[in-house]
Amino acid sequence: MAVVRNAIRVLLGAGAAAAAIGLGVESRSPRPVPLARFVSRISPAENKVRLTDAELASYRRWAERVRACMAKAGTRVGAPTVGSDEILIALSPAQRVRASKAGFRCAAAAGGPPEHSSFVFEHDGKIHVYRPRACLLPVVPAKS
Amino acid sequence: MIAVARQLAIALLTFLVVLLGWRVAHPAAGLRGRAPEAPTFSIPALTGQGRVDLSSYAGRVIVVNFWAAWCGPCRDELPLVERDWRRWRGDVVTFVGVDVRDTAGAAWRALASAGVTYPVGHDHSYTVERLYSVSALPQTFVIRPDGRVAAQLAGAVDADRLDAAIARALGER
Repeated sequence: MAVVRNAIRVLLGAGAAAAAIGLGVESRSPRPVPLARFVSRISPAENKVRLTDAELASYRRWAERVRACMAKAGTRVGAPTVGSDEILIALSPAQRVRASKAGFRCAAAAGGPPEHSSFVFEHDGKIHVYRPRACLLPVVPAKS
Repeated sequence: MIAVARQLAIALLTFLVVLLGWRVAHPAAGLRGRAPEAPTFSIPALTGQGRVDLSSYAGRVIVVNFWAAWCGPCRDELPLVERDWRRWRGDVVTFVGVDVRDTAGAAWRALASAGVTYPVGHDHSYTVERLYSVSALPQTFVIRPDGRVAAQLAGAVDADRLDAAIARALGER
């Protein structure tokens, strides 16, 4: 008899929950989420596609050509190194502005970055060559 | 008195367990009522004449794809988006491209090269980009027929993810 009574209580609880779900009580909210909060963002760290060893070797060969071109133009930069899914070229702090100009010129002279890759001067003072998942946009301040 | 309290406790516990189980089994359901509204916009058309006006597609599932011709992943993605548009256009689904931070000429050439046939507008003033909080390209939004955002796909989409988002949005009609 006690088992039957407990079963009835369980059924009552389950029935009430089903009614709540059916009526949408727990999923209804008067205000929608602002779109800016809903949108997920890609951080620079998440933006690198995984590269195979062959791709890394090919990117490195291209970076060596850029480095040689820059050296010829009088801008000395570090030897290309293999990072996590990218090739890095270190610039000396004193030469960053000059190196960035020479870098773009030499990247074009070397036939442009390898297909699907990005050639980016980042805040860490290095040139990064990697394959991006997306093109990150600089923030445009809203008009007041 | 104790017996009544025990009866209530059992019923309440069951109520909570069932609700919790339902939430675990339907994780997206909690967002249903709270999904953000998709901002409407009207921008000059890049393909064809006139303007691309989002409000003219009200009541349909709308796929809004933000892109630019200078962005490699966007150019790579264009043929996939076109294929998916051809696949879905028999349903109540519309695809719309929004070209941002671009010259109209470069955009037009990229569209022609990829054979894009869905309507594409040119967001020359960053207005639509800001409305949708776009911080990376490509970026795709799937809008439900009730005008709310069903999904946002950051970066290049794969057909499976996009198809699943469209099917879900169609199911919410």
